Amino acid sequence: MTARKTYHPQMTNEQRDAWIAGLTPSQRRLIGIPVGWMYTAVIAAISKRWLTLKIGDDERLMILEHLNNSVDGISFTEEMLRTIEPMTDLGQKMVDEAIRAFGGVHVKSRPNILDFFAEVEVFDALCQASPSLQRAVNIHVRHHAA
Amino acid sequence: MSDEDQPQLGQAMLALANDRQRQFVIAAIEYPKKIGRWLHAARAAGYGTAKSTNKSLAAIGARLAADDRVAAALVEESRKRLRALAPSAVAALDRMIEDPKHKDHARAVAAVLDRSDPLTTTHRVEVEHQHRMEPWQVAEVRERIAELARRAGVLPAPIDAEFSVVEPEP
Repeated sequence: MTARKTYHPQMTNEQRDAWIAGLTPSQRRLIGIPVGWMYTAVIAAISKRWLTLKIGDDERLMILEHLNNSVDGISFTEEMLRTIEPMTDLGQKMVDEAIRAFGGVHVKSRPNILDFFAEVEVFDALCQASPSLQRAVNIHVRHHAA
Repeated sequence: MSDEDQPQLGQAMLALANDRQRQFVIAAIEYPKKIGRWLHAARAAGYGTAKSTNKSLAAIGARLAADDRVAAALVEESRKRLRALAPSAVAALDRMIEDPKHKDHARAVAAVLDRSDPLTTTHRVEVEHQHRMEPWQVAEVRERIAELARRAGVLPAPIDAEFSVVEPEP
């Protein structure tokens, strides 16, 4: 994995400007998106991918309840949830690689994996791989601009 | 925001002056790091301008967080989120009971349960039950699955059928 470039609140203004200047336009649009929102969107896409598999009713209900609970109506709305489609093969490959790189999804590594997904560069790459994530970002931006 | 998207806000959240303050509270709670919470929340809620420095945004955030009404909303919303963690905590508690070596785990679980709902008392009750569900229960579960699937914009179950490509008629 390459060196992590990420926004940190302790950056000086010069460092922050340089960081922003190095971002692509699509990455720049993600700067104001809360990290918690990005976690939720990625997990929703992964969860929806599980739902395309043959699983029991109990597991299906558990995943759907989790998705339903992730809707808070302010930051993450039902419209956003509906817009997010199951993670594509490429997106899932990226997720699997990240999980492997962080040593699995045990409790200690989970915050690191989620932080990693919420890095502007990583989330943007996931949006390219799974375009419905980008559509959900557009709704989020529109929703909060209103 | 449509009516069905409206969250059930608590008294403290409703008492805030505007949606921007509510967004500040949500963003502050969702921010996963210890440092820079108020700065991040102020930026996410749209305070300041495009040219505002981190220092001024942090000052705006800290001022908001010190406001009694905002502080009350932060406490209320945090409790709500912690309460949402309670089912996982209960599951972890079950695992911990099975493995008494998990002492630290037990403390963490107890803390989550206490903070999420101080009035909740957890009992371990041994119940013998059959896993076989009655037909009406199956129907209820399927109905719930269909409802949640509709809300999430997914199919209630993957379509498992053979198909063939039909050529359009000339």
